[in-house]
Amino acid sequence: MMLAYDPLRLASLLVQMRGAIESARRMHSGDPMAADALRAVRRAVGAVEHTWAPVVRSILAGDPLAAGVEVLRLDADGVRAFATRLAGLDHEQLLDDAERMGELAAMFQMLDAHPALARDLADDLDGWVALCDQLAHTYNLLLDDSPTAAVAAARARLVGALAAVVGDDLWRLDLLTPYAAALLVPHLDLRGVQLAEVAHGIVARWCDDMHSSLQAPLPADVVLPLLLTDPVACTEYVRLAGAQPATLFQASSDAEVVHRVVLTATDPARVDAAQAGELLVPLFEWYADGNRPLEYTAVDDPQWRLLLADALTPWLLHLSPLDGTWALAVDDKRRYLQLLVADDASLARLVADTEAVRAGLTRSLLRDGVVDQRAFAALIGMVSELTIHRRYADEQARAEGHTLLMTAITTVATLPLSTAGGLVVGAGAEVVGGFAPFDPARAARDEEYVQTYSRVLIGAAYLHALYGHWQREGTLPAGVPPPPMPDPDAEWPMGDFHRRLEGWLHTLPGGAAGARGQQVVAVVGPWVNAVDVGEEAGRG
Amino acid sequence: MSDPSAQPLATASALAAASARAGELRRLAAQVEALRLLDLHRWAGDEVWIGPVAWQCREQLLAHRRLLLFAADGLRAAARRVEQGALGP
Repeated sequence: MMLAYDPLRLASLLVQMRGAIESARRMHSGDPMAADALRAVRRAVGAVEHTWAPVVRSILAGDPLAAGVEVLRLDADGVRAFATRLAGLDHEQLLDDAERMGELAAMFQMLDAHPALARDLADDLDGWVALCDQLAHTYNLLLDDSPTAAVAAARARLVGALAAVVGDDLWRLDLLTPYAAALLVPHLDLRGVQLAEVAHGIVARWCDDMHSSLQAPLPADVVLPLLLTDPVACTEYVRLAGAQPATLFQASSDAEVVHRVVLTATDPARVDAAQAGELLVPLFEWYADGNRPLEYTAVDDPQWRLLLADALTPWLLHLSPLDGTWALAVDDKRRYLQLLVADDASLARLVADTEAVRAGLTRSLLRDGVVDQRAFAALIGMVSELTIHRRYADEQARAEGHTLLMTAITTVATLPLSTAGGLVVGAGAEVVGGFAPFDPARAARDEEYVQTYSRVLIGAAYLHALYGHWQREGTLPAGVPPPPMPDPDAEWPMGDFHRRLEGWLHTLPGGAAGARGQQVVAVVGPWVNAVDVGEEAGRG
Repeated sequence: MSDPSAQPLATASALAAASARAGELRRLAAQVEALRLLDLHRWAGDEVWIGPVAWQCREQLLAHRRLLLFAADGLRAAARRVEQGALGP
């Protein structure tokens, strides 16, 4: 059986055979010692003259278009006939036959070496489209059939050969069903932005008609894993998904892969805060609008809030009512944060991942090497309002909300602090750490205590950091005592602290109105005013 | 008593004949190595045709090629034997 041939080159082979026979016939010798050699020559000539030349002649004289589908003549008519016959194959049988798949793959690969004919095939893609689509359909059905290694390898080779028809003309993928197109993508050697665009185009097409085929495996199941080794592709895909988040959250049966794509795309090691906002805000907005993965289907994702929590953790500060990095309305920031703190699991996730919260805050807070205290204080206020006030009846949520606040507070207490007098390297962590986070029994009956004591703690932490800074500078006159410490047992910790702070300010040179007194006000002030802003925003 | 000078003359003639025969065998070997039959497989590659028949043809052409090259080697070995036989043990 002959599978495919190039008639011009086969004709050349026949000419060469004739020439070889003629030249060999001229050999002669009467020497008995040359007899063996001449016999070898005669046998070779005989094989060519009586076996192979006739075979070639019969092929060239025959009509391959009338022959079986396995025959491909590499000329325009032959390719057209081949293209037409592709659609008529018994695809299910084909996919179980390693030998036939190998032959078909070889035919495509042969065609690949003839660019002009490949273009002819491309002009008549119906057969190829039908084959790809049918193969994808059958392939899908057979995914769990545990094929032999030979069959699996032959299927992969065949899909690779079919992918070669796409070449650089990626638009040809649009001719296929999304799943068929997805199967070809791994063989196209795409990277970065191009991979993301192709993958997203395929998944978007599927999403447009998703309800007709929600049975896994889905196109996204094939293409999204390809992105995971290509962070640029992840970022570009998530950027494209911003206009149609369903391509992330209603397209894949493997939620874990979706999570990894989003987290890779927004990894702080790769993108800055503004880029992270461009990527994440549309996704949060989609959820805040009430969209969800489709429950009880292949694309369900019960853990979606955890993904949002993980994605937001490094960028938490940008939901502060006083942070302008993401150019969001305060109401939107509250809606997004509400998505997370209203749910036990995602709130617990934010709390559990304290190191990531701390790292994110550290990175976000340090603008030009100093802390944006107001933004941070407002964030604390909003988180406090959402987690402690709004969910005060829920003891677990209240405790977790407070843990989150304490994580944030101990973080900021270690950061450089800008003051009118210059830069103070934060040393206030021990102030925060030196106190029990809060009195759970009291917190259970007194929500205001929880909130105000948090403020007192961070204010005191900064105050002590400032005091330590002055001491290290040696600019503080002798006799100035350390600032007051917060008292967790005070009836009203904020009032108590303020009262003792007022007294301490008078020990400074110039008193409360002096330069150092004003510095203190600048440090502690945000923890009154900006927190109020945040709390107000949290109330909505 | 034989002429002692006749022996060298007979040997020289045999040597010349053997040398001519060996030369012919070597020419024949070179002719075999230059046969177009040896290159036919290059015209029958995957870019020309594929399939079981095509692969069988190529295999057989390659097999004949190996035999022809072996035959050429055999001709050169024969040429050496002719020369050595003329020189005696």
